[in-house]
Amino acid sequence: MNERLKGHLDLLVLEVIATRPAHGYDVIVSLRDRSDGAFDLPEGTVYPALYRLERSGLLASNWTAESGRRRRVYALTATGRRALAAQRRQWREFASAVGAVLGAQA
Amino acid sequence: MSGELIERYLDDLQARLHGTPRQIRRTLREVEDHLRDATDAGLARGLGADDAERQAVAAFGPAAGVARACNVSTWQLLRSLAGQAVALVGVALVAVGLSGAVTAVMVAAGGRVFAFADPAGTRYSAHDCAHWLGQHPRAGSCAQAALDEAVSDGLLQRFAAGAVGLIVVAVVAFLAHRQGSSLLAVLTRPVAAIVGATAFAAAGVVLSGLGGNAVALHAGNGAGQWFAAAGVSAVAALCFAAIALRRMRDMAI
Repeated sequence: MNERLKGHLDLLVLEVIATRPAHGYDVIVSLRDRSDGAFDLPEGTVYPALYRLERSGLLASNWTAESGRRRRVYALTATGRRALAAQRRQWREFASAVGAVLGAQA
Repeated sequence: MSGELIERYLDDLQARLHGTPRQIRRTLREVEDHLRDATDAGLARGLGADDAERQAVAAFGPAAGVARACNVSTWQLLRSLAGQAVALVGVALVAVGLSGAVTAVMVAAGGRVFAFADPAGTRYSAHDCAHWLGQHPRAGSCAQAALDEAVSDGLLQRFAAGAVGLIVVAVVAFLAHRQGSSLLAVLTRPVAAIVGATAFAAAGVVLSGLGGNAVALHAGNGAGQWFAAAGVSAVAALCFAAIALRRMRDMAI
């Protein structure tokens, strides 16, 4: 499951951050919670994804202070919102096509 | 023992990370925050301090793998820089096209001499005169034919450069889109923004100098083309400078 997940990590990270700006720990906890524990990646894998998405201009980040602890909080940029919409659409088309093939063989 | 495991993990990670001191500091601070949050979550679940810390570090994954994934490879860096360089060349060509549009407005407003004329008293060869008068039979003199030629060639070359620039920019936008990015994202990378601001500012200074020279030495003949290009360069330099400042502020720790 985790190997398959890695190919879609960028989409999932963007989706989590689209809900609300989040720091790295928040993102990994949200991924785990929203997948009912199915997506249980090594937690360190989220940071390379966050840095990659920020370098691509899809995320922007800032240091903030929450309850006395500093946090680097990531938010979607306008480009990120457009990229997420496009990736959602591609994923739905792909999932629908796979579902149709599997359904045809059932 | 409390905190020692996290400290050792951070030491290990620091030794493996590549990048600027600021990038490395940022990663270490984020990872430390993460590990302390995860330890707090373990304590909240009833684990002892050492177990909570051990579990947090284990869940984060080996430092070697995290560092390898965080470090940008030379190939990735070169590919990104090449994409930014091509995008900037495209923007520069579009800027040349825009300067052509500004110069065309000058010409339409009756500023042909200001835009393109050679200095007064310029001598032309008989061969050139014959060629230009052949191209522009309504011109009453060789100087007039030379000006007609300069206007048509000058505008055509600038518009052609702009058209090539639009094609280059469209290709970069297409390739960026295929990789889940965008043209704007490529052009707003810190390196592209800083290089763009510097190059356009330098071009603006040089072009203003050429225009000023034409005003000072040649009664303004031909100064318009330089001032038009300098104006477009200045606007582009300001845009890239604003982006560069914003990106540097975003990266500040």
